[in-house]
Amino acid sequence: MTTSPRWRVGMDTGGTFTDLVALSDQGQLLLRKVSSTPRRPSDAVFAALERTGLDLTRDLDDFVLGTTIATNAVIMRRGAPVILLTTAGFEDVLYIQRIDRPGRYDLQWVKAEPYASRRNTVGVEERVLADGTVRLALADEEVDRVIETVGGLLAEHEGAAIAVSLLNSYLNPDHERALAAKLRAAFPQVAVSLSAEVAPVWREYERTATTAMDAYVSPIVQRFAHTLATGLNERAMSGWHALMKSNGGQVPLEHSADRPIELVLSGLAGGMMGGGYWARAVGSEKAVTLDMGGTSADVGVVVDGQLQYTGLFEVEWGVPIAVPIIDVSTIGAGGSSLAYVGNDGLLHVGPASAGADPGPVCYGRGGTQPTVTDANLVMGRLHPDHFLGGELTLDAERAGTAVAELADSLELGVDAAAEAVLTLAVENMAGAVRLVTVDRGHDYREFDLVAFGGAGPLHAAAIARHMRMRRVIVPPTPGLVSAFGTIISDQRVDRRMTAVRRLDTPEATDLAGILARLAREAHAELAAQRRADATGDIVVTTYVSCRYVGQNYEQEIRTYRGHLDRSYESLLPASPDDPDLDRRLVEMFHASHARVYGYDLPEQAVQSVYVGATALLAGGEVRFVPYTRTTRNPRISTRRVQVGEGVWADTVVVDREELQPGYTLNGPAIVEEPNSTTFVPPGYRMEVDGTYCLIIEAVKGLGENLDTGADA
Amino acid sequence: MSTRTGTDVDKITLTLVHRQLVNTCDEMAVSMMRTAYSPIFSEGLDFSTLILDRDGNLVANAGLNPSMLGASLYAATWIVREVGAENFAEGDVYIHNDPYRGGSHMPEHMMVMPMFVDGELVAFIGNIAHMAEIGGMAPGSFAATATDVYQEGLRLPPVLFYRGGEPVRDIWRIMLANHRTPNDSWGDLHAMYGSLQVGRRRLEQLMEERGIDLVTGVFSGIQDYTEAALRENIRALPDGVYHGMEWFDDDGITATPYAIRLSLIVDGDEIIFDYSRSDPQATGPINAPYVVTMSASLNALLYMIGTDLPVNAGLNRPVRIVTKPGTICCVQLPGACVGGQTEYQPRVMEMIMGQVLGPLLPERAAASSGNTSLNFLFGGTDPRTGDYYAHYHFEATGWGGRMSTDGNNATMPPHANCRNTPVEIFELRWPWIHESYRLARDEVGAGRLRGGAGVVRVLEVAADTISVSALSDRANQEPWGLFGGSDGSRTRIEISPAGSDEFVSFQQHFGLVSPTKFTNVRLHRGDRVRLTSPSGAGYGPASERVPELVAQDVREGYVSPEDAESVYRVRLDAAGDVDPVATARLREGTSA
Repeated sequence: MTTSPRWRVGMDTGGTFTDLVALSDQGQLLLRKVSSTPRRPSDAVFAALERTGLDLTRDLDDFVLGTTIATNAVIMRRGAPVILLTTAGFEDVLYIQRIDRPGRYDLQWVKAEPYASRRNTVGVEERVLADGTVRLALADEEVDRVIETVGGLLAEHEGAAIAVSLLNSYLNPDHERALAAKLRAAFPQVAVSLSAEVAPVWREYERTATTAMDAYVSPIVQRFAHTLATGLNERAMSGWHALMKSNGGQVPLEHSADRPIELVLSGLAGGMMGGGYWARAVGSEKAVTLDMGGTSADVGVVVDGQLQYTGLFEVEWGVPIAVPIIDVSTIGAGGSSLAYVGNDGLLHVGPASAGADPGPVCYGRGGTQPTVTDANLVMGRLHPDHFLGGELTLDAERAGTAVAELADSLELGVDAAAEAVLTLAVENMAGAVRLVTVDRGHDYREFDLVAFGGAGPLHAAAIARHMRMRRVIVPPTPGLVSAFGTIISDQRVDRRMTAVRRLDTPEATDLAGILARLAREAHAELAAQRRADATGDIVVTTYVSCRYVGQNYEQEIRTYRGHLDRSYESLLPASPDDPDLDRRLVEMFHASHARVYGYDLPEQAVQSVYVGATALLAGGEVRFVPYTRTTRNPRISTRRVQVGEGVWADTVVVDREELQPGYTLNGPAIVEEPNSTTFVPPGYRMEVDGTYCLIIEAVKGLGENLDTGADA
Repeated sequence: MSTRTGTDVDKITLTLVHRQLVNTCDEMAVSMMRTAYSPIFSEGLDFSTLILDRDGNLVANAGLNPSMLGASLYAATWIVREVGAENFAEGDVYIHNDPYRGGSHMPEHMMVMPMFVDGELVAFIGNIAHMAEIGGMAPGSFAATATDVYQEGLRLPPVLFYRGGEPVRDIWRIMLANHRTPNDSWGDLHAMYGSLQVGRRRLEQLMEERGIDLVTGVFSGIQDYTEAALRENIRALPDGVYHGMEWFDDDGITATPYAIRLSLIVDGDEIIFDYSRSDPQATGPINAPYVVTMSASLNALLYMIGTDLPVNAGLNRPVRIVTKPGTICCVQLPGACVGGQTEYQPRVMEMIMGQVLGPLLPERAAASSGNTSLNFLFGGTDPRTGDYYAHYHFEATGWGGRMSTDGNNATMPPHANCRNTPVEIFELRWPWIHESYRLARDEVGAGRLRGGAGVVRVLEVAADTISVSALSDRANQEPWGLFGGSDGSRTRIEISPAGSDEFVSFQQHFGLVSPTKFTNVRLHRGDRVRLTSPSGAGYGPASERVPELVAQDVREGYVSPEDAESVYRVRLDAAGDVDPVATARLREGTSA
């Protein structure tokens, strides 16, 4: 029996930094943070891996990576040219969209630009009707013509990808499949996305937009996965290799480019999973998670320990992705967000970012425009020698000059300008918090704020004060929570298909069989992919989305949750192969409709729309000690810090690695650790709890602007 | 002391509780969308959800359809007055659709439910929804040739629809017996009722958490806030009298135009819209009830002040709207008025936003959008199911150019904010087969900032027969350009009979009075209909458009190479790029 530790490695490539967390089965913890390499993101991954000092060929059990590669392509509109094939006559589908708009009273509103241009859209003479029958067959000559046209467009647009979305293909994918076969044969190097595979849902705009975006990110994801796999093979890295999906599950690296759209929020998912973990760990019933890194801030919601999901995520207003995704809102606010005076003569912070390269002015890599990090440095909240554990010495003088120039153009003092930059960044993040809480019917004043990412803990207390939220929770090693979240995430396989059946007719009798098949398929695939060190059982859930005949939206009814092989553990009455499923489903749907909408229609026929199965293998338990140098008497130093409203004060600075549970401190104070800095403002008190989280709360009775109202 | 006026609340609490009230309305809207039967609810989102104070004054609504603003502000107060506050009881729901009692037009039904705390009436939960079929002379209940309100469908004064939580079956039976598609009506009415329950639960919860005094304090506080903010915005406008005029092509009955004339008076922190010089009311249904004129005026004002004000009854206080009874701006019983909401309202709104206030606020103005809802109604028996169906369909138009951006393609005009019905849902529901649904790219109005494209939809009849009706306008006069921009394009409703390749106008083919307003025209299997909605007009002279944008427009099909030269004065080379020297010479020629 060997005693050498087995390691699990989680990584997260952000716009600015690439983070690594390694946990051993013996409770050891390794942390590494390196600068991202946006031109070749995998370089930073390998650099971080090498710096673990582990024997990569032997010591690793698994390696999971969350990546923003697809996210950045979408947000910054840097994806591949997309050649879109639609049914002839419907080439403008991405331009017409749904003809509505967000605000009611904005005559200057501009509709979102499609991800595939009209010039690159090819109409295909074919037609499937709404019952799935073929009105106009796809002729061989037409396929030839399309191939030729597509060939011409491919010659014009290097690195393009192809998206195919034909009318009613969710019912009958034959034409899409036939086109895909010919396209793949004719252009073997080109990625082809089919709407019937990417998002087999009805409503042509949503399906087409999702498919076009799949193609838009496909070449970038493929290149990345290939480079990564090659590099890992060269290093003969042991264990299982996976990427994070937008649904918080893992996908094996070799299958990661199958559905690039599922990676669009990969980099966010680790943070969401990690934030959810720490919310549960400190017993927070309602928490907003804030993951603020270099280029963006991601905000999610955890209620009763559960992350919230959405089936229709909007990348921007009117641009939907119709695949299941963790409900999260992202804004361009991070440490590298640029502060500048806009055309309107007003100060702006973000969404433009200095990124990793050149990065903030204080990195000394050629950046000249001040960023949020520069403002923090000028205010003394960051220490020039303690950034990234001293690996990067910040140039305070340069930062000062840049902020002074900004101050001049605003006719403000340097202190006031630096503070204005932070105030705006905080307001931007408050907007994102409102979006995921208030717009979903939650009152953010009942929520804790779990803040992490390199820059989150610097601004969390200001956000909480501004919004009168309850407590601020700063998890251990906040800069690496996203990477940590990838380790603890589950393995997950989804199966989903359309099956429109009236449940009161014989046509529904095959539903139980379909569900059982999907459940077994999902179970079998996950069993085959099962991670070596996983100890739990695979849990399968199945669901049917139902509605009253005539309605247009569905409600998901979970029909089974159990282990398949031990049906007696079934928690709900209908098992996947229950012959009475349709009858039970009807009962459950009436009950669910009454619960959610306040009434049911017992006389009305019920119909199924989607059926699906999810197989889940819970991530293994983790056990680790985040800080090993803790002491009863941590060293305390002080430095001058601009603590707010132009006030500079001598401020206590402690090293987080020395803080034991139970340690308390009153603001103003600064807690430093290699990957993050936490600022505790005046009027706030910080305590280290049993999980090593920092819990920051307002001290009551210290002036009106410090009253959080949390106890009101 | 009194719980009725509530307590004074600080601004943060006001903002937050109001936001929670709006969220409640949003939740009601989601419930309605997800449970409704007819796609006009579930896909089209042609409804509003409301919270009103105990007098029926609007406190909060869900941000869906601006055109319902007037009725949202007015109809519930009418119901409260007519029924009498003392006559409401727990679990009651009233339904109402009468344009002569504070409604907009008859398809829009309002439901209100009183809320009581300790036996005291404290609020109403309400909604307004466009029901797709309510009887009358034409399927889809949008009869363009109606000459009185009795032809437009089943008229309901405020009547008890639920008593103490139990449905009043006789009213249900009367309604369903008069609607052509009672199944859809039945489902939609349940969806409306269900959304009231969602609203009630959330509001009860809020009142429990915050206390009744505080919540009713927010009810009045938010109205005061909106009034004060609106007054401040009006004060920023220069005092004066400003004028505008718009024309309808016809009223569907006679081929004569009708004029709307407005004098707008800004006086300190108040504003008066005077429509009294407008033409006498029309025989056909283009007339507006007073509520619709109010809606158009307030909506235009909200667009032009450029601030996101909380929408509630406080809006009414600094604004006076003057109309002369018996004109098309204030129709009198029994005048027909179903088109007031969808044709008159956008026309009046954009007249105010472009012609009247545009010169004062050019950065917020826009050239005219297509400015019609292009209502196209149809009904018949679906050969696939044997069931009778009826549907009220509308089209997006192009928006007009703005100071710094081109008009949007295919977007509902500013008065409305509905979604289209996806082709896949459309064909599942009704026996039509789409040949195409695309942009009318080559019809956009030229300008420094050009108009956006309207849409072209070609539909083939896939049943033995379908009865169709239309109610639109803008077939004789294009949307107007602003500050030297060119006009947009006209509405066209055309037919290609089975076996023919040519499209001709309905007016010509069927010998109709109006090109855009007709009722119950019978089509047959294989006939094709082509609906072309107007494209938006331009803003500023075309000869000032950035030449590179013109080159891009030519590549994307918005501008022909000929127009690039003759209209925009831009010379393109063989590769389609701008020839800067030749372009400069051409443009010198225009300014000389």
